[in-house]
Amino acid sequence: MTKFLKLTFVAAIFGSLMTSCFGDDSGENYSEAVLNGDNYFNVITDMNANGNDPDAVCAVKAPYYRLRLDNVSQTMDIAISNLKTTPNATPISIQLTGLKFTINEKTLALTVNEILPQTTGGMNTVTNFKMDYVGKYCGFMGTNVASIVANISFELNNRYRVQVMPVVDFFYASTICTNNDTGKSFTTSTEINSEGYPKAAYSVRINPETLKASVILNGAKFLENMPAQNLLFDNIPVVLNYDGGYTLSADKITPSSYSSTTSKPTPNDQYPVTDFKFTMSPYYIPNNTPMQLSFDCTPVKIGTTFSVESECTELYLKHTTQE
Amino acid sequence: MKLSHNITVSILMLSATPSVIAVDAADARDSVLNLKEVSVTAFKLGERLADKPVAATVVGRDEIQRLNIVTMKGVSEVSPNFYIPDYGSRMTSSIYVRGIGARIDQPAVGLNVDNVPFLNKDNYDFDLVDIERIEVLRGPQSVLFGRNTMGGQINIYTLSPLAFNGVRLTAEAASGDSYRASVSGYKSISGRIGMSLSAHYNYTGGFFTNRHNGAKADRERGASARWKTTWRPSSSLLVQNTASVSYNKQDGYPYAWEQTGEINYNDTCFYKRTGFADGLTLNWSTGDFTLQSVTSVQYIDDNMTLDQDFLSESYFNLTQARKEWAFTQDLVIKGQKGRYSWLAGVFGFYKRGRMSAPVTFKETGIRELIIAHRNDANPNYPIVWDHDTFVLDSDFINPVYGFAAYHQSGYRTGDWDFNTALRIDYEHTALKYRSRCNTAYTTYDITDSNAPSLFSKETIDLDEDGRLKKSFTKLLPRASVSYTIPSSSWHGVIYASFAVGYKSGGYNTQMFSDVLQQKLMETMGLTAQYDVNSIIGYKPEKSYNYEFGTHFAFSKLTGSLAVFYIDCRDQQLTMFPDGTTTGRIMTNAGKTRSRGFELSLSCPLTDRLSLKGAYGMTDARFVEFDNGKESFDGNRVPYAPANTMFLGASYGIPVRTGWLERVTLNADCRGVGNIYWDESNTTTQPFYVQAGASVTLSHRNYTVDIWGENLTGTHFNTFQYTSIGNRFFQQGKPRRGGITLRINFNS
Repeated sequence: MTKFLKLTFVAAIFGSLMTSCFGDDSGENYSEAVLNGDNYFNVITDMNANGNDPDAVCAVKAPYYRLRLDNVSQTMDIAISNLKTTPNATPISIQLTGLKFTINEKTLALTVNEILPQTTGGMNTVTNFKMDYVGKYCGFMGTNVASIVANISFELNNRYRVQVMPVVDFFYASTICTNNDTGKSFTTSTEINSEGYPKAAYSVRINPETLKASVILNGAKFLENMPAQNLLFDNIPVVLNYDGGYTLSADKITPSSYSSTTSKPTPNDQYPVTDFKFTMSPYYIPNNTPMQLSFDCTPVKIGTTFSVESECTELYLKHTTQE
Repeated sequence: MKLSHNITVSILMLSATPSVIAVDAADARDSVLNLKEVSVTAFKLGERLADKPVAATVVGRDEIQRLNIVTMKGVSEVSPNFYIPDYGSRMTSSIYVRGIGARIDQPAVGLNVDNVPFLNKDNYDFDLVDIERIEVLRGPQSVLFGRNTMGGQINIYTLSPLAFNGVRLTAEAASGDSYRASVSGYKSISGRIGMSLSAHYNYTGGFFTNRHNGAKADRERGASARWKTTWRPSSSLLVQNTASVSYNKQDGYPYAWEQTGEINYNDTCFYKRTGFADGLTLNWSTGDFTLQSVTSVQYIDDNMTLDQDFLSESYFNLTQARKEWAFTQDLVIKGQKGRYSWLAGVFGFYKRGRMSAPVTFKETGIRELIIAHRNDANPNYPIVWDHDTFVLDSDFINPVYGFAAYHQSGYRTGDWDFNTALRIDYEHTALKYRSRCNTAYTTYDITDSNAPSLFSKETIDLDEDGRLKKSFTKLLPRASVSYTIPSSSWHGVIYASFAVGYKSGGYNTQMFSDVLQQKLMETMGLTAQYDVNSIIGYKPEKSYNYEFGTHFAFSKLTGSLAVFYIDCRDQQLTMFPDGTTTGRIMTNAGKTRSRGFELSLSCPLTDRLSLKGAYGMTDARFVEFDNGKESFDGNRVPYAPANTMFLGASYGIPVRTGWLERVTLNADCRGVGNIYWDESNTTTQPFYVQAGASVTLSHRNYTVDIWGENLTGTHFNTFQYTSIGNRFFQQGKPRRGGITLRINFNS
């Protein structure tokens, strides 16, 4: 694929998947996109604070990022507004210009790795700007959804690390479900639906104000011949990790049977869950641990405890929009 | 059995007598003389099928009467490796040839009646008056006869009004409370124009009883009329038009539940159909070429309503009400220059159908298939359905059109004939659908058993529509070489051929109700059991056919032998998906292969005694077929019989009195099997034989046939299937007999 076509494609990805798209008003050389607070939030880490300080990391909702790509020079200008270092801080605006980006041949991910500082308005300095952006399409609960795998982080004024996180994310998984009594297990891994999209196993929605998360299991089952169900785990506390990412954990939780069309989820106490834990770990954390979801479930009718362990990824390994 | 793929030299011997495969000489002469000018078979293949590199069975008028054939089902087993099981309704025209066949949707065998190509397999089964000749061509006929003939082609010709002048009457009474009557008038005006009008009525009280209501499950009545005109305005122009209309109503399907062995269902079941067809054939000959045009229009209006569970409980029923128009045009030109013969044609068709296919879930179905499933998953929050019944409604519009161009070239040198042909076929099918469901349920909270409470009320309002389309383009080649045996005592031709067969893809309209059902279950948090998008459509089927055969005549013995190998890709199979579904789907098996042979023999031993036999063996198996849960590699392809057999003997006694000229004693037996009923090959119908016999009293103006079928009282199943975990079967018809009177008033 020629460079120009790759860029055009990436621009199309931006245009089609961003939550609010300005479209292309500058001819074929430029593309624009916007990330807004309905679908993204910032995680702010105070690098001066101790890693054990619970106030070292906070979530701030409603950031606004406007991106403008120059497909010819392969540079990007970014306008960031409503950026706060704490939920109650005064919002600031930042303009970054001329950030060089590259396109991954295989995944068409757009990557920026700009370590040099840029000072905007003589007041705020941004360093170590990293962005890894790729559109993904996946099957989830019988429909196909489009989303972005967005990993944006930068350091602000040499004190704050800012990470952009999606409010809703979808994860593929390779899952082992083990009968703790017999030791027998079966494995499920990402399947491709009839339209060619890999099926996501989990979705995670985070409320940045309450720091509570909802996790939906798409087609959960503990025995190979058990009818699969869509289960919702709601109000799981979110702990933002100092090094990036987050952890969801709950000692005991009762799922609900979930459908997007019902007036409210129906609790399903037939599948009580314990030791629920999900670690979301961005790629750029050095020596990061793989993303993993695990829990134990003791279905009432079966009476045996099953341990579920899923190795999760945001991108399906074979997921590429072109050969 | 090891098959040789080498092309071998054959010798064609000119036959002193006009013997044609499996047809009495007199029948053949009558048929050929009357039909050769207008028959599409004669036009495209030639008048004498015995000279052609094709496996064919021809059944002439006398044999049609002897075997009491009124529909194409009557030729089943008479033609080897050709099987049409008698089950279900008139809509069920499943035909299996050499392991290739279809139960629903696209046919694998084409049907022409008086040159009119019937496009819809659901319209294949109808009674015909005054059948003159039935040809069964086995092996792919795609190049010359077009789409959906990858298994073969059936051509039926009715009596020409230029061949008979007068009135023909038929009346029949038979067991099963069956009656048939027809009257036809033939008039030839000035020898150049002839017209015939015929009318037919049939009634069957039925053989099988539905225990639920005590009524016969296979009661049937029908009527039809035909108007045929043949006109020869000049020596070079021939015009034939056949218009027919038919009506048929059947009261049910005699499917018995395996657990009880009984037919016992409580809901309405019927099939009714009104059909119309008109075909206009024009033949124009010049000194250099001959041109044939066949134009047809067909209309079918039918309604199949089924108690889909076939049980005495109210699970669900299904209606499939359809109206469909079809137009076809075939234009063929052929000529010969010295040793080189050629044929070229174009074909086009347009078909448009509207169908409404609601599935109604009833009390037991809602309770067992939906509520039980859901409440088992979440018993402390049980649901109660707000209605006694609800409907999964689906409407479809399905326009299909296609074009084809084809060419055949032949070259004869000495005793060798070389023939190649090619067809390019394009087809476009679209499906506009709308599926909807509107119902509601209530969820209760019984976590506190002392104080159950209402948790939520949910409305299900599903309404989906869309448009799907597919296009198929296929090149279909055929090549053959034949050699005439130049012997004075042994006449025959040996041939080898290769042909590509093709059957179009399409859409599983029956599964749209399942799509809705899956979405309905998803509203309750239950994940879809299978990817519904993967079952909505099915791919075309392709086959590569290799055949080696011979037609021969030695002294009084005539016969033919064919050995074949078929490599089939994406064979279309009818399956019932797992679980609690309501419909059948057409799916594709990765690869199958079919190999076997056919032998037909006919011999008038004396001037009174003649013998006839046909045997076919087919070993059809999956090479690659895995449905994701089980591999069927190596298993036999279901529903296609491994063997077919027909043996017939006829002994005529001249009487020569004023009121009776001849008495003919006939006996025959037909065998078929074994047949596997599923891809896993867990259930089978072993090989079985049915014996028949008749006594025919003949006078030049009338015949009386006293006949019996299945005289051995053989018990066998003609069909078996599994639905929602229950297995059903249909028995074959029991021992039966009747008397048929035919009167000809020649003018």
